Amino acid sequence: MPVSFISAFARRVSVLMAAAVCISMVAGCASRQTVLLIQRDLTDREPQQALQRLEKTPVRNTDKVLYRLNEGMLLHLAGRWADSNAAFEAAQRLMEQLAALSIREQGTSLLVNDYTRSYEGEPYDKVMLHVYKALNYLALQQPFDARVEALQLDLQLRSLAEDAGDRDPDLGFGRYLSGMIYEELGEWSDAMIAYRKAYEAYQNHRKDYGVAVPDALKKDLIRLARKEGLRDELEKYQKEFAVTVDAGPPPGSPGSDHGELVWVFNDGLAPYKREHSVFLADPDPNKNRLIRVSLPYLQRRPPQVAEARLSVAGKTVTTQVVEDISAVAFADLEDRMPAITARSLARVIAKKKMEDNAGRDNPLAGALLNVAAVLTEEADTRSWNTLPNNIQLARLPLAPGRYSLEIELLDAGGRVVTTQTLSDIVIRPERKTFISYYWSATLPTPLGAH
Amino acid sequence: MMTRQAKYLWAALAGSLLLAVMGGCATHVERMQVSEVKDLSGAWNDTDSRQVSQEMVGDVLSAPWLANYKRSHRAPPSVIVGDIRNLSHEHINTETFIADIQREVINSGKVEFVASKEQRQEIREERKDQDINAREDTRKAMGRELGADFMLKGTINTIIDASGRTQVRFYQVDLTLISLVDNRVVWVGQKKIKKLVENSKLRF
Repeated sequence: MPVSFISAFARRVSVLMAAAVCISMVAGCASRQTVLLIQRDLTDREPQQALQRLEKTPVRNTDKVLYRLNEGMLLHLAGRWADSNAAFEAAQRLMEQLAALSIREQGTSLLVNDYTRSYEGEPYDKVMLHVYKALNYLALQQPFDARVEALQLDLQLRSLAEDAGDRDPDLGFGRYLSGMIYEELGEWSDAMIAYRKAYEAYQNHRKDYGVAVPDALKKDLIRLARKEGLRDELEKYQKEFAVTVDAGPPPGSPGSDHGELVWVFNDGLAPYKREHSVFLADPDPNKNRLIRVSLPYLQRRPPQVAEARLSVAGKTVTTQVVEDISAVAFADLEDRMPAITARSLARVIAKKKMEDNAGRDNPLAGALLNVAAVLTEEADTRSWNTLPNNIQLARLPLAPGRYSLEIELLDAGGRVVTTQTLSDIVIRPERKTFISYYWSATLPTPLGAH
Repeated sequence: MMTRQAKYLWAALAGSLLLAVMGGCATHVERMQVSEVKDLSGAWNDTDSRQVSQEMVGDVLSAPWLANYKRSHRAPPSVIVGDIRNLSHEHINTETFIADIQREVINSGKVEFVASKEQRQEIREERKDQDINAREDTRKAMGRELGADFMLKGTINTIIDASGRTQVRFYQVDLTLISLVDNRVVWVGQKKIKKLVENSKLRF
């Protein structure tokens, strides 16, 4: 009974694996192609076309979160903010359901590959989700709904910090955006707390991600510390930052006769994951079989544009990086690589054991199982790859009115890559006008480089 | 060679798989009473909305401001719904429970409601249109609107305390009725809801 049971089990597993081979070969190849085609669409500034492409690609049951995240991002870039939020809302609900551990998926991932586990979102996916939802609500001029996102982001960051190891998931920009939302609503103390937390996050991560404290944030801290009468803190900031700040209420907030333009620049595209596979002959000379180990790595997509220069109504301002998503992705994968490797090796051993058992009963079954094992061994290359490479920000106080915005996109050498004009930008008194802009073009990377 | 036991095992497996598939296919619908409490995710839901509106209606109709106003004016007061701000962690639709409150209060006959800003705008446009197109004896004149005596304003706040997969969600809804004549606050209604949400740590 035990032997026959095992062989029956092995047969079942081999059927399962054969099915997985068909699916994963098609899906694995298609997914990289889709990534590159969507990259081309976005470079051509055709998010609608990218969206159609995404909708046409088959979605595995375990990839629903990823699909919604990508859909939400493309809809955001297409300027369909309400639809984008519907997609993000769906992603968020699925993530909440998936936060519980699945015993079945854990089991099959040890037998087949990591794709059988549901994609539940990386920590920074969960943060960026709220950032883009808030940006959508701000574009829709619903600051109170954006405020809800700021609160949810705070909740999310606290929950992530609870189970994060050394790496704090608070990356700064989420907090900074929250501060601007509170400021626009005239909630000064909440704004001050958010700015302060953003400042701490930028300082903590300076070493890891190389993002300096943005100058605009320095001004915000000084302005609000003065407004709130925090004398010691004001003195500390004034000593620390070499920036000049006009007296008066923050522009684009209650009590100010000015509005403010907040220009969010989504620069380039985040790195995407690919796989490295190593094939080995079984070290046991009596066994004529192959072992495959597959691990993921990140393919860098360096952005064409290094920074942007905005000119409006005779004023000029240059963007500053407020979040380096690419750097975060690399650090994150590096942190998780030991666990991924361990799981991959455990899988190799489990598969070998099964092949041995099946082969004892029936050599052909053993050989087939080996073929299936080699083919199904695949690295998990899923990631939210429609995110930008980095996010940059420029803030400009302006008198109420209608403006036309000149944008010069500059490469790393300071040369102008292209000039764009955005017209009919409305600045209202006491309000901020949030504009999310993107330029996805990436520099060509030499073959094989990553 | 498949042994007898293995055959049975396969048959059982196939049978249960078939059942599982069939069970998964059929959509199951069950009619519920509107008043039935069903908490799924722990987020703000219809039950919360209903509880808040019921409590507020009972409170606002039995508070002394109403009797005081009637004594001095000999007419029911007219109220307008102002800004109900959602300051909570969730995207809560405040319109549903405001509509509930409005319905109950209007039907009680003790208070009159004035249409909201957007509604008034639309009605004024209609009146303007009547001015040109409607028969004279059916035409409604401008400048005869009912001005509200009180404005209902409010906020929804939440405090969430979370640890791991467990959350305590605390909702507080505050409604204030303010006199438009002199900014006096004549009534304050408050409803608190507290929930313990324990999310499962495991799933299938």
